[in-house]
Amino acid sequence: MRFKVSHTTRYKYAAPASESFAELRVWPRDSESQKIISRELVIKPEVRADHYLDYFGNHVEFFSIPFRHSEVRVISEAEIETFPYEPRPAVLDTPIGEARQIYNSTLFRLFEYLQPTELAPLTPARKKIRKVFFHETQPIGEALLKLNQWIFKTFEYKPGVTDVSTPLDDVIKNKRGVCQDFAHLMLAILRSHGIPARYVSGYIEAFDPEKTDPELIGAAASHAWVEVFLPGGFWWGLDPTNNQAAGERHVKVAVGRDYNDVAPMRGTYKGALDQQLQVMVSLTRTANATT
Amino acid sequence: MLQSADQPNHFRDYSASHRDEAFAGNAVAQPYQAIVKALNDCSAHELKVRQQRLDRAAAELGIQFALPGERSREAIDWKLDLFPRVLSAEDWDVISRGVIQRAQAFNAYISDIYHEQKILSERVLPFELPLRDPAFHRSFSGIESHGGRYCLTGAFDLVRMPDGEWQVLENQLATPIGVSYILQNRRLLAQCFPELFATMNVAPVASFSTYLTEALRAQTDVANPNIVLLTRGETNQTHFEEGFLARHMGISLVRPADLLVRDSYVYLKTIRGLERVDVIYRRVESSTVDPIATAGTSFEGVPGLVNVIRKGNVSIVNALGSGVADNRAILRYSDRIIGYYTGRRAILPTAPTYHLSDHDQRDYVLENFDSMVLKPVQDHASLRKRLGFKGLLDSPAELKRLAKQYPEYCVAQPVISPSQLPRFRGGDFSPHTVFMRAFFILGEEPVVLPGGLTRQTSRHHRSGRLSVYAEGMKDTWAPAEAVIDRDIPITKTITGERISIGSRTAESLYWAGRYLNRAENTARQFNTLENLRWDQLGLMDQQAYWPLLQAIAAANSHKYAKRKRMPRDTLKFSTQLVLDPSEAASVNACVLSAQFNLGAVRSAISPECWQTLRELAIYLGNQSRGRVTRSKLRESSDQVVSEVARFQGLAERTMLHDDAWQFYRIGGFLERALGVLYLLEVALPRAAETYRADDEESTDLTALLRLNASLDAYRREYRSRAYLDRVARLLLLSPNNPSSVNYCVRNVRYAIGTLSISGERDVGEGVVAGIDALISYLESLPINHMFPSPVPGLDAGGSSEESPSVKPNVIKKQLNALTKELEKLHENIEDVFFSHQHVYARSPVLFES
Repeated sequence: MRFKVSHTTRYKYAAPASESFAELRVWPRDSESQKIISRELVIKPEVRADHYLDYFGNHVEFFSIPFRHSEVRVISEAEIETFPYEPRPAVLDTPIGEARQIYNSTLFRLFEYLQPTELAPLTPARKKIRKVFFHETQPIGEALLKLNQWIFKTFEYKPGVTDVSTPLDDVIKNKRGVCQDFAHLMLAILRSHGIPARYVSGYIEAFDPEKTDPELIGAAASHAWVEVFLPGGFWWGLDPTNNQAAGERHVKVAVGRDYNDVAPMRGTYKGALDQQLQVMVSLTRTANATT
Repeated sequence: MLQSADQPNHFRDYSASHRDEAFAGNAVAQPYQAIVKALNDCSAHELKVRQQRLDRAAAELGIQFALPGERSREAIDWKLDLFPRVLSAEDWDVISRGVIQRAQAFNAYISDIYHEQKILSERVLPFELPLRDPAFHRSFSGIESHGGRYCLTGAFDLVRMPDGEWQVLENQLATPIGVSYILQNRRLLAQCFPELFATMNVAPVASFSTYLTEALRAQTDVANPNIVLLTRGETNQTHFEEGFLARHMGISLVRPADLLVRDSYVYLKTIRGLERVDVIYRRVESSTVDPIATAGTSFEGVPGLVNVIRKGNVSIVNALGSGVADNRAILRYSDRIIGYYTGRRAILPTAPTYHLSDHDQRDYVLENFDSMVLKPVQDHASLRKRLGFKGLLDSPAELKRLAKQYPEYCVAQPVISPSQLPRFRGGDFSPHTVFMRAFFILGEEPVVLPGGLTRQTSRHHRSGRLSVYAEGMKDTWAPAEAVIDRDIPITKTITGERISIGSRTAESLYWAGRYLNRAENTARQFNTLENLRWDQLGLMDQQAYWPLLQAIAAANSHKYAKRKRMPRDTLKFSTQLVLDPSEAASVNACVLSAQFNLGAVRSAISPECWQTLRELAIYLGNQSRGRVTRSKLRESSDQVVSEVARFQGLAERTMLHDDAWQFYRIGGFLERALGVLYLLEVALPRAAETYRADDEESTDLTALLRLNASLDAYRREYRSRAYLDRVARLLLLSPNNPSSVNYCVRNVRYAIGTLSISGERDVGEGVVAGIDALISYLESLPINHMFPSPVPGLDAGGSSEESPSVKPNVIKKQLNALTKELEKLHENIEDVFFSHQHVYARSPVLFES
């Protein structure tokens, strides 16, 4: 499928700020499941952006606005083609026990995706969630989908009740949150069971124009899900917010250990403490690819 | 060794253990023979005198370098023992070669970890140890360091074992402290006991700071680079070390707020403008240099700095994240690391270290727990933050807890019994265990500081770790013949002329001047009104004075300023004006703000000033607690008036009258001018409305003069009752009245004129031109038109029958415009000297319609 993505971030300051600095991770990355056809970044007021690839291979753009301004607008636009990309059934049938052994043999590259992080600590998941998700003999694919579904069913999607600083403990206790919380929760559960997984930020298409399926959640802003490392080297995207595997309607932007590694915009400014943030994301399907 | 009978032997009762470096059995070890003899040449009394002299000189240093105004508890407790440590030529040969080898290996290690991680993929050491290290920041991956130098300078903590073997206890490659102490110790001992230096040709240490400067200089291709030392300057220890180094190296000592990133370059903000920075000597933790590059850090740091470093537009020393080499978990693998990167055997062995996440090692540690010292893998706060660990990790109990809860972040080292040396105390020498920190520079020609920082262990030794204080230090001698002379060309510093002060200092003093003036102003005005109402006016209706009180509120941007009627609870209103610290404009809040601003630049003000201000702030803090009464308010504001006056006097008398001082004055005068104008803006149109020229005495006008501390000035100047035009003239135009707008603005102009900012970038010129325009605007105000003389008979020879028409609206408009211009002057000063917006902003145009 082909999409046009537009991701606008707008900061409006109550009093003019004298300087703003920010690091962006809003440039979708190429992968087996998607190809970036074109990409453009517009910053208003107009300033140049520097680019580099980070530790996790994400595109990072940095800009600074060194003069007085009362508004910053960052518009990231891209055209992307996504492809169906699914693990082989044989991989999904691998028993958990066997998968763990395979992980142990390639632990060096997976180590960081098994460690606790500030936003996805393992202790709350270990202590507060009694449910057993993984049995040695169970096929990994089935177990993962069950976990995905359990989060979807147990936790209520409720925007506004949590933010980045909400500890995982509270999310587990109150049983509600947004895609970001569900992704962190799933990461914590997976990692505490020795299954390597990473955080994905991206976009999702809410309505399928060709079908009448119910709306998918998470399209209004950046979306988040997880990728699990399957034996053989396949990173399998799972979206607990929508109870499904990530598919052609998911556009991947950046990956990391948790949200902190992929934050779409991290910045500071000098000025009055009063600011308004507005984020708009649109993902529109364009004419089917001709190629 | 034989002693003549009449010569004292201070070491007769010295009981040397087998660990003693200076005494082996009954004999004096070779390197110490000359020293022992020299000491025995002195009488016991003489030794005491010398040690006292050393103690006095050291104490003076401690005072000299302590942060001004701090309690002595936090001051530097500097102790230097008169018995130096003497290293043999053989020892020094091993140490210097071993230190350089180890430094080179760990330099390669840091580079590897932040790039290919070959040492991990080749399984030379367990990958989880570096990958779990809280000092390993992924955000610094892939950043190149000039010349591949990731730890240009650093240190290793060494111990000499009883068998004479030197071992490395810990790596200190991030920001180790100590060089300044070594340099000062040498100077102190040479001054207080020069005879000792006749015993041996001691390798000098002072050139180390010059080598360091040269090495920093070589970290950029820019000719005559601008090098700064980046500090947070929090503790006395760092304040001393870094202040000393910066001065010795001739580089600027800066804090994060002194630096500014613009267009992918980093600049030092000075009152002369922006100076590009080429090399940053970093003395702050990597994770705090840039809030954008490192998630979850607070807003300190220099936003955007990491991007500049990544682009290669500034060099940072040591490289960001170099602390990965200090990870204690990898100490066990030091030999492998050295072998892997240098292809040679390690010259210096590393003390045995056990990692608690390894089952076998943990079992071993548990079996020998009583002879083990627990240590966290890193000392940083980041470790505690990552684990959510509440304790400070500085007591054995807390370390035990860490080992239990997070064994993967804990190591153990056997308690070691390293060498001992005589220490002079209470007239006697007794043996004392010593540690040493050896410093290196990994430049084009690697250098090891000849000697090192030898410290005597303390009984209260923090869980076996080294601390700079310990129980005093020893000067450490390396024989000059064992030190290879480095023929490093010394570049003459051309930039010694950097006399301009940093914008941060200027800005802090400017705001301190403004806040203190505002506090004093409000306090005095409040008192004046209180006195007017109760003492002079008796039963005068309070309501009549509301406009004046309101004017004071307006002058202090208080929310009551907009109220038409007097608040019912005047006590509450008065409290908010005077004592309430949460009211941003209250006297109390202003004093606190002044204290906050000066606290950040304490080295720029005198201790006396700081003490006065602190006492005032504490006094107001106490006054604001508990029940507030009217008399308490009067008492408080009285105190503020007199204490601020005391502060001003002290500042005038005890502070250097340099640029920093001028900014304090500029802030003060500007604030006073604004304060007068804000008051006049409200009071003059009101007074004009009710003003009748034939009134016997305008109480409003008299009060207005009093509020501006100008009643006496008026009487001297005019020897008449208060007339509207005369009051206006005195408060707006008088060149002699310290409370007039004109007087204040002229003083601002004078102060700016004295700044040493002339030269190629005379940024002050525009500001001065602006002030000149403002003064001529002020002086050409149509006062006669705004306030037609009520006594034309006296002034113009006309008839007093023609009632002049006073137009309050015109007055208001004129004063308003004037206030706007003054506020613009503030913005202009801010843009040019502090925030450097003028680089981008168009030059401000005065009096645009």
